[in-house]
Amino acid sequence: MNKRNRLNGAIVSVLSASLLLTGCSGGSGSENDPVAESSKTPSNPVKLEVMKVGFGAKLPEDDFVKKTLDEKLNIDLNLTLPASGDDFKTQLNTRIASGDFPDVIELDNRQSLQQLANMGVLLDLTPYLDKLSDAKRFIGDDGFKKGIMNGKTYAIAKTPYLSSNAYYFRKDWLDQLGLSVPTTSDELLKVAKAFTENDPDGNGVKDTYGITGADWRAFAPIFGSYGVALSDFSTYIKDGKVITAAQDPNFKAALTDVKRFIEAGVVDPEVFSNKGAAATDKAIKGMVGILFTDFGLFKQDTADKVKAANPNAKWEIMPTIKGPAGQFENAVDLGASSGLIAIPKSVEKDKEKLQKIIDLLNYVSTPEGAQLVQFGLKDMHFTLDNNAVKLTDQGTKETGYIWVYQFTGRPEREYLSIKFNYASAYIEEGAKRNRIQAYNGFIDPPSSVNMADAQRYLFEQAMQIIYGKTPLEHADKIAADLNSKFGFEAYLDQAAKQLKELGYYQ
Amino acid sequence: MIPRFLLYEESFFYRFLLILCYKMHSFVNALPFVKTLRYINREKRWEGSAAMDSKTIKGTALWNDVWKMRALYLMLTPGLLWYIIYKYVPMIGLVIAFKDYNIVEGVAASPWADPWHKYFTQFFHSPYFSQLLTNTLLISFYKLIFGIAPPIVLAILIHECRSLVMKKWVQTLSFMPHFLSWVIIYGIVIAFFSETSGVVNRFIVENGSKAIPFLTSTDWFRSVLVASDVWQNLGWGAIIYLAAISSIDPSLYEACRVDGGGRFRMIWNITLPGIRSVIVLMFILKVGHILDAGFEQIYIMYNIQVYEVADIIDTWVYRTGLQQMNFSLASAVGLFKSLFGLVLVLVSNSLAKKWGESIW
Repeated sequence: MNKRNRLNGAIVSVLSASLLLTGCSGGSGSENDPVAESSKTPSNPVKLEVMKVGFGAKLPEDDFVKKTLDEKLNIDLNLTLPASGDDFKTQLNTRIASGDFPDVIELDNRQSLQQLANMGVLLDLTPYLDKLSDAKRFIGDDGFKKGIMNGKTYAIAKTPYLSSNAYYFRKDWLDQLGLSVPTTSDELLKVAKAFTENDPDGNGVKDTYGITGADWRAFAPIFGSYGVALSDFSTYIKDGKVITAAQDPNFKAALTDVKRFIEAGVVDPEVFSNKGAAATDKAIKGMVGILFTDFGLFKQDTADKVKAANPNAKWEIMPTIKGPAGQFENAVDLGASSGLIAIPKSVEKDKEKLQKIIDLLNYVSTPEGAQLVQFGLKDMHFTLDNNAVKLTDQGTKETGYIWVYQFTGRPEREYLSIKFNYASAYIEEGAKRNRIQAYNGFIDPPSSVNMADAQRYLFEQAMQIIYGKTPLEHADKIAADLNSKFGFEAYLDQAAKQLKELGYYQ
Repeated sequence: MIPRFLLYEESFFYRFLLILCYKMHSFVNALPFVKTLRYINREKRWEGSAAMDSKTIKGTALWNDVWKMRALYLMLTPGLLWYIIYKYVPMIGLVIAFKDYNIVEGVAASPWADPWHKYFTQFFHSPYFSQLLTNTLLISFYKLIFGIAPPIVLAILIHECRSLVMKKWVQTLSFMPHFLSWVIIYGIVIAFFSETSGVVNRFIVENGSKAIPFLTSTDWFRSVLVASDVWQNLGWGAIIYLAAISSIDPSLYEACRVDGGGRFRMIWNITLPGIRSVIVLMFILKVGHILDAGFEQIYIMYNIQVYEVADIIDTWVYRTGLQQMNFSLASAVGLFKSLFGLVLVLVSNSLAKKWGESIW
């Protein structure tokens, strides 16, 4: 053990030593990079490097999107694609520390944007907004609002992902047990109980559970029926106040309801420890009958696994649970985006490069460019029939990676319905659902509030309540505790102030 | 400029955490070298007394000693250089614990924190501070106590094993888990101990008992942590003891056999005393890392239901310091951990000295 630690230490020290050395020289070294070289020879294609999270996407050797973009815009476009958000952050931090900036950075959340903007790394895009007209038309004004910080536009927000989150359930189990589709939490509990206790898979063993999902999201529609949004630590507006679940007057009632499900033993006992795809895997294996998820359950590879595990398995989307506050599936963050496109300050000096970046962002927003990065090449990867896009077989096969070129996002609903046309019913249905509007993406928490600790406190306390480790009455105290222990009111004040500025809150 | 391949290959976030937090541990890691230096010293004293007779002038005495011991110093040089370059020089970076570090401005240009202990206070005043410290110490302590005997026992068993084939197989298989990442071990733990699908729990349920929530219950989680850690490092830890055993003079065993001692007598009176100094050395080295309760393992295995018993300093630093780019905070906590470890090493060594088994 000791030896390995030392080896780790060695690698680390090499890294840290090099960090240190370059950290000192970084300030002066940032200007003499490829920037200067490319401006000397304007006829040559301009090198552009875009850095974003790649989620393991592999670019093929014969990359037709790159080829087309390079030719159209006279650029040499390169993507740096760290596999995960954490990797992305690490690489970006090291590169910033060494003054080696990519030309375009697609940040994965507002927090990173805030940090980089405060450090003075990012270019204020305000003077260039007029030039980005195509992008502006494509994304809409909201997308530009999300990148504003202290009155300056530091980023362009891509269109957010479409939320199709809802409860999905085993229709075949329900039919087998002769039950009807639940519409209220009482009925949901009844069905979940039957799924747990009445052997819906008919194997003679009590080995199934009612409900699962990933942590608090598994209960989102129940909370939603009380108008409460707990999962994701949502910040929302209710009765003219900016609140989180802890301050919601219905919080206790919602917890009381969820507690019934835990007490009845119908919830997957590992609901809070399901990691990655664990919850979906349980659904695929037929261990659970109700899952809070999205249309991904119907994507080809998942659907194949469901069929392989049990050919009779049939999943359906459940109507939103009705409750005292109406029907809400979960909260959707209006401030969220699927990526924030930012440009480092270092690019500012190289006018030609900056122009090419603007050209690139505009081009992928024009109808022609958007089709290229969404579906591929016309008549090869897709065909147009009365302006309706239809993917060819080659298109389905070869365009798996091209989403990485969607620098300004995509019309999500239309796009998904074409890409996954076999699941379009669920995409459309999910998109129609009513959701609580949250604003986390617009808020920059004050540095005095440790949001990680506050979130932990809220989630931990709520969890102990539903598992009966602390009495229900404790729910009333959580809001006060957050203020006294974590100075949480400073966050809510800041949230109210910022939302007022943006016109979401009076 | 940083060589690109280093950045891209070593991309785990934890590496970054390590950079910032572990610099001080060079003190601990340097101990074997201190021991070598000690040895040179002892030799020097012996040589020195000879030199005294010939009345060498004091000024040149040191150089003469170094020259006489040149072979040893030469052998020591690469190691010393490695430590200086990779362990001591990076310690300069610890200064960011006292600065409002900004990665753009760099270490030198970042302003000093006001007050200087800003980030230390932030850590000590976290509502979770006492819980974090308790968890870290407890988990580490359990790992230390329960982790020390099994490798020794395994080493002795392997040593005593007569079948060479068996010996080789057991040794290879037992140290293989050391090379598995925690993600894989977590997968194995889930396969065995998951409340809904784990083999162990299926067995328990089929025998009519209630499934045990090994991974989500505050009563069981630490045991799972400690047990999986001991399992992972069992064979690896045994290697050093095996090496120590093999260096014991065989004539001691022969003498014991002649005197009619059995196997247990030999283990008790020859093997164990023979490796005593190695056991103490390993113990002291581990004590220095008492505040490293195993970030990777816990980060991968824990969940909100067991934060209460599993959240340690490193996981907190990861969530609040590094994920929010607060490197100064991460660094301050690292410095605190290192100083704490250093004190413990000094204390445990002076204790060991009393038993005549110190490492320097």
